[in-house]
Amino acid sequence: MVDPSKIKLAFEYVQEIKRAQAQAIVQILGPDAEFPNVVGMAAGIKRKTGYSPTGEPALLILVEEKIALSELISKHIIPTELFGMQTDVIPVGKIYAQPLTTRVRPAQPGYSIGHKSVTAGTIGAMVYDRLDNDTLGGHPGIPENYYILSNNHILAASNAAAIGDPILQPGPFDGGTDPNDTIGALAKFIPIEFYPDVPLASQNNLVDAAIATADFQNIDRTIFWIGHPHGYAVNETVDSYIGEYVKKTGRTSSFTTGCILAVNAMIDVTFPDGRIARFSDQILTSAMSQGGDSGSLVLTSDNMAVGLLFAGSSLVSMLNSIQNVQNALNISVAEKAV
Amino acid sequence: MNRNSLSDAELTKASTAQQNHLDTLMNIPQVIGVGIGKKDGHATVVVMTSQQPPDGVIPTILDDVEVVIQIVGDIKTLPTVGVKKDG
Repeated sequence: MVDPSKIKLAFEYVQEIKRAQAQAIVQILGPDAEFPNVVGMAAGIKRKTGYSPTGEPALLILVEEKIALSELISKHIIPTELFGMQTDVIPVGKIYAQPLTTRVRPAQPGYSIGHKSVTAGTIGAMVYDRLDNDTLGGHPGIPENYYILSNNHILAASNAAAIGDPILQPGPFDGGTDPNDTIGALAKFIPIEFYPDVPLASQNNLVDAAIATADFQNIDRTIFWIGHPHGYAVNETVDSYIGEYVKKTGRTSSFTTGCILAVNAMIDVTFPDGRIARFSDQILTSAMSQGGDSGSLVLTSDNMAVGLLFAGSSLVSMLNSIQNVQNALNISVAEKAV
Repeated sequence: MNRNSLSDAELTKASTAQQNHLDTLMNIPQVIGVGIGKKDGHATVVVMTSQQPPDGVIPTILDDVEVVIQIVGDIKTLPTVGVKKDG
């Protein structure tokens, strides 16, 4: 039985620890810090071997893993006291944002999805058939089908898939299996022209996009943490979005924001098998994505859909224009153009 | 919605400069993309490079439009990568 008086810390102790923590932050977590294993600091209670609490205040140094003193060179050893406060080293493992990798029904945009032969990407949006005469959005009438929207390289394995192939939620990398986690079937994808089959200068790629049919009751259009798209940007006004802040929810990096840096961009993109494709009419943003976020819908702060995220680097992210995606697949992500 | 739109004249000038020089720019080894950006209320031609290009390789002005170099790294698609932890 733990003594209750030894697991609670008096208020004045917390203040003392915070003072030491503020003074120690540069030494422990600063850019020139000598402690590569440290991931954070916290105010807490000193624990003895076996983790029994002592009731004494301590500045907790959070490390990925605890390493024996004998294996550490001296400058990497955390001092037993920092700015008058004793320390305690606590192993916490590697800290990640919790990714959206689980199975959910109804599924929501932001969560993991994938064709059976790919790893996993992100559900961008739940969309519906556009009426033939409805090129600028507007009233959807009675859509024949409802779909999951993501990238060709996520739902159609970069042109390698066949129409009707099972689509898994979560994607195979996240444990999704056919038929248990099959949420729909590949309905349509826009083939990507690759070099060297097509010379770069002759390629006309606008989108990396595909849709899968799904049962209406299994798909919720509310993007996790964002809500549903209130409209979509048209190409004629996309220049007005340069410099604007945008947001997305993705399987790996969760909710992130970025800034639009350039539009009407032509850019060469490397695909998973190393092939290169040249895309036109793309939108460049500051870095807002990681591996697994492919397929995320990118929206303005007022929830206007701007683009479909499909590529990036550690420095930038790249989006297809959402209007080009809608035109190519003959679908709508929202009822209103802006 | 009141967004900071560039004037049609500005955009046309930058788009024309982009189109006129697109092939030349895309053939420069470090260049992987060319787009339209905005700086101080003016449209610019944004030249995206995988790394810092050597001085003088990319022009600073094209047809009276400012060129902005944006280092973007290597652009790849973003499926999940890595090894699954639990098999």
